[in-house]
Amino acid sequence: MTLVSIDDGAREYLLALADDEHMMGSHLAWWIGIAPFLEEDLSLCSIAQDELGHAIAVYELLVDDVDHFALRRQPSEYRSCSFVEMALPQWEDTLIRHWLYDVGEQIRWNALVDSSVPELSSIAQRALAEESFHRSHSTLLLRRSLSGSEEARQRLVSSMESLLPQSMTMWSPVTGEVAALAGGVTSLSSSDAETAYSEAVQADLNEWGISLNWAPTSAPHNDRVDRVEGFDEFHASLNLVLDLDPDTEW
Amino acid sequence: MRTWADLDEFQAFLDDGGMVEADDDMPEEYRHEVFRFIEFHANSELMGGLTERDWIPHSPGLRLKQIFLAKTQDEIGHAHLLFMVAADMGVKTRDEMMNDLLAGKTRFHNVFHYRAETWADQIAIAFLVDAAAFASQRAVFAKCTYGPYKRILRRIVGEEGFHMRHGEEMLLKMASGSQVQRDLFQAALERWWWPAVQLFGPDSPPDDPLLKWYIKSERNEVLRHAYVQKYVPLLHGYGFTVPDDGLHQDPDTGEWMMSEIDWAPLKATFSNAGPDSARRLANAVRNHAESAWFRESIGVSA
Repeated sequence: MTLVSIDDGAREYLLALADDEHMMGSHLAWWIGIAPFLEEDLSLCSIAQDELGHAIAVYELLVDDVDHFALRRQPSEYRSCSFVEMALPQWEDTLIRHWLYDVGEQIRWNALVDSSVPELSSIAQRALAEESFHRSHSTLLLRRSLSGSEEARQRLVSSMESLLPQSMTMWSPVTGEVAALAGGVTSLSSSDAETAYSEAVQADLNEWGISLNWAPTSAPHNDRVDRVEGFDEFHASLNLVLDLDPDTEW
Repeated sequence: MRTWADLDEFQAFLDDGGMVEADDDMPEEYRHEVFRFIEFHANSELMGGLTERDWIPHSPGLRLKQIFLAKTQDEIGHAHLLFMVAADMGVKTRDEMMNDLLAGKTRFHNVFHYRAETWADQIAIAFLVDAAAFASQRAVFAKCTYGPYKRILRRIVGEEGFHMRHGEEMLLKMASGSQVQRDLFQAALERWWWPAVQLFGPDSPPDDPLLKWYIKSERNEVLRHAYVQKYVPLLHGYGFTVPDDGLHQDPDTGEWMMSEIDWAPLKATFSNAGPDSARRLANAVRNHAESAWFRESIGVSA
């Protein structure tokens, strides 16, 4: 069910959200079978499926052929932020990104609950119900691991130092954000969301007794147009099977 | 806690349809043989998940990616349940089982010593391997005398049934698709047919204790024969060629008869010398080692 009634700006705004969810879901899915322990394997896989489900739900508002749109666009046509495009094969980095992304995601979905697009509001409410579990999952694991051993604390804090500045690219606005705000599609600008995000992250850090040399900086404005190094290979990997016979149904 | 005077009394209990529970004072022979069987099953579910994971990133669609994730999640979930049931038997802890698996001291199913080479292999696994596993596990569930295992098998068999149906749906898509898809699946069939048939194992020995104790309800060769009778016509019906030059129908019974099975590839997997055993185990060992710091920090088993 595509929404023909929203303008191109709002579409680009929603595309950025859907592409972020798609990238996060795909990167989390990579851990199936190799997460640190079996229970975590099951949990993370469910979260990956949730994020992919969010991506599908929003893509469905934008286009009829979700798979073609999600996978066959040129890299330059994606609007994901660099924070979610990076492959992170180390567990500490995956866990830290999971935490930071879900802090931000909750803020983003909250801003869509009262959207002028009723279908989007409905998706946001469902997503928020799932996100509360995602947030609990990451913070419970972090709280326990940070206090569990010195090695774990060093690894996790080091990862925070590296990824926290990167995470600000979530708030890199697309050009269409102005139209999305004007049309009531969303109620929160990226700059206001960035402030809320920084405060939420700082609250978690305070609770865990972590002091980082980190000052929130404004997100770069072209981040959602540029792709990270290695994205072409990742994109090719997503299309490995489709490329064998692009015109057939798989 | 129930106890039995001797093996004869225990056998009579089983013959009468008795069900053994974890806190029973079961004979040590039974405990160790059933434990070994469940540990093998748990290992196989876990390594099966590792076999399937290779192609999930390349799923040709987001919903397909979700479906294959859910399917592989089921397999990991089965491993999780089975390791816990096995650990409750008091022979090894979950960590000991995991360490033995990664050290190559314990076995897992032959099919998971092979690599999924293409997307069609992923479908061949769902269509052929899951079906073979389903038949095998359903036969264990039928009369299983170890209560905790039987209760877990009810769920496993139910989920494997979905996997098998999904495999059929995916195969139908390949069979009715383009020449590229048909060629891809035919090549996968040539890689997976014999390992799937061998999954049932060589003919059961006459004195197989697992049959005597009703862990298995059917002999290996009977299950294998039934599988061939079902899957040869299905594959022919979809227009594929079963890679067995000696395959023929018995003129009197109409049953499909296979060539003599070469058991050497199966036996190679017993010593982790299958085509992909080394890579699979090495990857599992590396991943396990790399996340040891995290498990230790939160105090959990692998």
